[in-house]
Amino acid sequence: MTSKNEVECLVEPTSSEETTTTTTTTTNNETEQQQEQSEEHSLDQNLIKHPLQNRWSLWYDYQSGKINQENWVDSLKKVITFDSVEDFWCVFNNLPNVSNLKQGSSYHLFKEDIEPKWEHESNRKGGKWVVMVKDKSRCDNQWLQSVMACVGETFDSSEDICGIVYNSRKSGDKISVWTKTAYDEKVTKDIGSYLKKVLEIDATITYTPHQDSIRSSKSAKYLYDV
Amino acid sequence: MSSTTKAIPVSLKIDRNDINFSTSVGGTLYGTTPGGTKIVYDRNTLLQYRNSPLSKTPPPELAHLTEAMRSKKPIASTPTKPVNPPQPTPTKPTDEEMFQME
Repeated sequence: MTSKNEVECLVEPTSSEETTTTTTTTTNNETEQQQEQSEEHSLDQNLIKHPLQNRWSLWYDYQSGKINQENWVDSLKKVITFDSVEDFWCVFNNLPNVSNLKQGSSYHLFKEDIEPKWEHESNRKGGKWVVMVKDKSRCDNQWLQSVMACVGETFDSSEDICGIVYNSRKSGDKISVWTKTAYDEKVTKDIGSYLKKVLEIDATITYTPHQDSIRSSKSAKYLYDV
Repeated sequence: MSSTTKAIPVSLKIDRNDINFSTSVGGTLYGTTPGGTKIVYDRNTLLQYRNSPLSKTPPPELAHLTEAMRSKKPIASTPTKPVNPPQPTPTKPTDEEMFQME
């Protein structure tokens, strides 16, 4: 009995062509949805965001003329903050390359609670390793490698890292890694050595405490080199 | 009613060196420091997630940045000549292909 009824129900709508078409479309949609769902399932592993140890903020600034303390702060703008591997890539897959940065502009990638300024509490007793970019064709890759080392926390003393800066300058591009404690020679030098490894460079690099840079940016003496 | 009690079978030789509590199941997805919980990703692990569907969407904040970068006076650059488009090579199906159906 029941089966007969079902058959009747199924058969009846087929008499009208319109209904048949609609039914077919629905069935197709359902199949597609099912396919999509199964695809999503297979990608599930890729759809988890992987947390980073720290939240990181990207800052940008541009100076057309001579850089001085006051106008520099005005032009410095926080662009975005991220805290997962995937969001990091969303930023760095779409961020204009450092090779395209116009002269006078900079990217600063800092831990969220640290402002990329000398005066900030976390930087006051710190300093920076400075690497001159000699080969402009390698700058995009070198910048990415050093950024990955920061957000991936592969520096041994990564808690001492404040942030990383790329300066596009007429006098030559620079990558700087800012650290918290200039007086800690071992920690600071370890960071410098690892940075050289990451950037695949042999040239000596130097570390200058911010205090010295503040006094005289031109004649600041470096404290360590590796 | 009497109940029969039995000792729960326990291996007295508990010596499992095969369990490493500092790694997650299925490998070290999140590396940790010895005594700490620092989340570490080496270069290859980070690159592995670079092409995930979640890693592609351009954040709207970046649009503002590119706008800001453009709005300021750009540095004079030499105008680049448009590259000559490659000459389209006419691809006519050969006779063989056309009559293959026979």
